[in-house]
Amino acid sequence: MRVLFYEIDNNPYYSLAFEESMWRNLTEGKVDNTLRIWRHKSVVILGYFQVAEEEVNFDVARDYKVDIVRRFTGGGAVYQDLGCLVWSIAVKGKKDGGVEYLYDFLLKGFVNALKRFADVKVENINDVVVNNRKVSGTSATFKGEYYLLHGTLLLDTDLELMSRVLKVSSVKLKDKGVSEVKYRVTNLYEALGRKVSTSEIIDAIIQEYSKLLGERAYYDVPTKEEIELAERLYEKKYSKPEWNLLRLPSSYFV
Amino acid sequence: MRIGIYEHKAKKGLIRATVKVYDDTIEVKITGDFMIFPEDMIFQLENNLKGLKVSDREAISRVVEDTLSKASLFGCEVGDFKTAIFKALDEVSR
Repeated sequence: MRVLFYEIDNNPYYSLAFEESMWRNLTEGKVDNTLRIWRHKSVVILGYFQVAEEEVNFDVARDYKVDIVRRFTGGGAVYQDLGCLVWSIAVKGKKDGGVEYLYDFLLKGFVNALKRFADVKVENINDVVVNNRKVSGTSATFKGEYYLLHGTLLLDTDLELMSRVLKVSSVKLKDKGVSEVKYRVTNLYEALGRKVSTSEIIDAIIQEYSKLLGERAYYDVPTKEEIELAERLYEKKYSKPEWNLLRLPSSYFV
Repeated sequence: MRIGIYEHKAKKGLIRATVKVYDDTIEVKITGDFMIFPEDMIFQLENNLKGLKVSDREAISRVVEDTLSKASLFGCEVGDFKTAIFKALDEVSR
């Protein structure tokens, strides 16, 4: 298992372009199973089916210099800053494992890592919960026998800004029985009532994925092909407002 | 052009259907934080629904079922998409 510490924290557009490049290189059999650890400065990352104006308070985003980037996987919008750890696990796995492989198997590495620090539960299929608070969100995709699961871990994120910059649908609030997003989502430090060293958490994630996949972890840098494709994707897709704000299909940007 | 929007909460994820009606044919846009694989099946669904008669709910229902039968849904069902689209259509005729 390859471990990449590859973050471009002040350019989330490129960072997401690299994520897609890493995934595409894996599905073409060009790189080993990969665990990526990364972060961003201050950004809202939208799901593939989301439209920015439906999810983001633009005035807050502008005032606080929050970038808005859309990812190529589904699911919901997240706010990330340097207090939020982002992790991705991209693997060649079971043939026809589908969604079950992602959430019954692949999610385990992350959950087992967190279990070293906290009493963790997985609720509602894939909500990672500590002391009744959600500390992580995940998204995923798969193609044949290739799988990508990526997620956040809130450590010390500005939850106040998160709750202001993200719009939350009234239908969702009603369903979850909470009045504001910040009451349900929290930082791990707060849920635990103590700080944990980030490097210990990262080590735990690496060790647990190495164990889960039965592969020795080795540290690596991106390949030339990964960088080249990331640059191409950045130029043609992720740097474009049409991609980030308008929910156009990927096929529009080739 | 008339427009109807409805937000439907599935087990996991929100499905927001926006239906535009031009004369008597529809154009549907589906947004939200749901998950479906392969992802581009949503754009396929929107294409397949385009131009169907607003009054022909049977055809709309059939197209949703046929298109999504080729997809894997996570935390939601084909019926959730139908609900969102039909309730958005109800909003149009209000």
